[in-house]
Amino acid sequence: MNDRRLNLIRAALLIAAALMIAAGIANGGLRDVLYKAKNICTECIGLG
Amino acid sequence: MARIAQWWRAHRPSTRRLAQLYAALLYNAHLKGFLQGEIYTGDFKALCVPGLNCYSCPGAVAACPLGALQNALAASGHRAGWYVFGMLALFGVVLGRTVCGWLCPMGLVQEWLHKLPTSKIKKSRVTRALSLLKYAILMLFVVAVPLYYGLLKDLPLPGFCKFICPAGTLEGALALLIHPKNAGLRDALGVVFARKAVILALIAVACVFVYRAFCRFLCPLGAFYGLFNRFALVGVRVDASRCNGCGACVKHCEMDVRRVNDRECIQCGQCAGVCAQKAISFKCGKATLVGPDAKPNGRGKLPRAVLLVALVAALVLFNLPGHKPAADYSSDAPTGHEVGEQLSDFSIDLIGGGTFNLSEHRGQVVFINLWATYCGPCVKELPWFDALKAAHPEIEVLAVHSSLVTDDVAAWLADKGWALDFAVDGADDALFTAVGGSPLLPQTIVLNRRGEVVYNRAGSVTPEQLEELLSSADQ
Repeated sequence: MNDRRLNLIRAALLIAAALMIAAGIANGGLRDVLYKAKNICTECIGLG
Repeated sequence: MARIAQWWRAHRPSTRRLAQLYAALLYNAHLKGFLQGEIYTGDFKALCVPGLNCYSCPGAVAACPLGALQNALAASGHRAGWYVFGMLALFGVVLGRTVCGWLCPMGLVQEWLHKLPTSKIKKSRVTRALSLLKYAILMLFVVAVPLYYGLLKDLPLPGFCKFICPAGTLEGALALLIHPKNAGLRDALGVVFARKAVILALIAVACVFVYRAFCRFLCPLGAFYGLFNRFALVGVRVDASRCNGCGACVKHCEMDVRRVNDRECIQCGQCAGVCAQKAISFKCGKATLVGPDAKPNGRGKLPRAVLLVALVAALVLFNLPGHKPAADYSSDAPTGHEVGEQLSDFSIDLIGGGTFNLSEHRGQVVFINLWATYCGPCVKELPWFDALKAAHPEIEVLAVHSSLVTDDVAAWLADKGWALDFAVDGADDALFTAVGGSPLLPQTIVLNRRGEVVYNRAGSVTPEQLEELLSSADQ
């Protein structure tokens, strides 16, 4: 794969990642991660 | 002094080892959590670290990307997990499997285990074939199981976390269980923990004989990042103009690579040391960080100073004394939430209207269940509480959702048809504080007819246990 094509793919992936993170913050996904991590489910650590 | 200097020169940690130690310490900077037997519950946990680090480890200051991904997929029916998808894509395109080689605490543990002096099993066609297993685990346990249970049964079930993840067993479960404060949790140990403990033991033994056995054959996070290796900004690169195709790099590598920087390459850079053509270097984009073309960098001390300051700042900030809101449920009777103490009176608004006043239920056995919609075991056991209430209408059952709400709880309950009293705790966590609620859900509190606590533990309960608790509370 030549450098130009590689850089285009990288740029596209970075932009997509940034947009997804922004969309996730807007739709409450950030809060979901936070709340799940603050209240630990016993099942997740094998105690359920 | 000369001997010490000689010893240090022979044994000093490599840059990569220092990076691994740094990452492990930074991810788990909440050191006082190990001393107190409690997890960190600050807002920093909204961020994901790139490596595999269970967020139920008492030291963890951020979220595990794999756990967050499974929970996001499990909640797909309610909301798309764009944030987690974006974070994983960002880590992948910037770092690829450099995360595995440099920034993963589990990778560090595996390499330490492999240092034990035993005979070693070298890579072969068998291990290369086995390396595909982690992709099956990724598709089945990380993607399919949470999606299936989340979409079709509305039950959050992180498949890899529940059934396999050694990081959760080692960092989360064991680190919490060894603390005397969590003795009650040991009573909640069951088949799930036993299974995971066996898996952890088998992985640990395997790592002694097989280099990075978990990384190579089982880790779904490594499988995911491997897909990005060829695009990642940071990583090991081969200068085709210098390479003579001798294959020394692949032969020396202990991972199941076919060529440098393929999906199995963890970007450790150890191949660079055996390349006689000096064709291998560690790059960030076009810039060579380590290699024959690297420019001498007198400014190297500045990034190291910044990293050191960041680590010290994290260790200080995440270990400052915390503040818990005081409960505001006054009573003349001796109060408390431990077994034998009388729970202080409280009032809480119920979903659907009305108010629950504990004092109005003196003379009744009262079950209080702390739960959340995003907690699989909580959702699983609520029907049992409903069945208990139906079988024993003389008791009272109150189910209180955590103040940390991700769904419309009333809407979530609307089609369940349960006859329990449901409420959501206030933003000040007043009820959770009054009953001694913890970040571990579910939790059940049982009061006898005098309002005294006869049971107060985190962990799932079975229908049989509920009947036994009722019998003991009703004496």
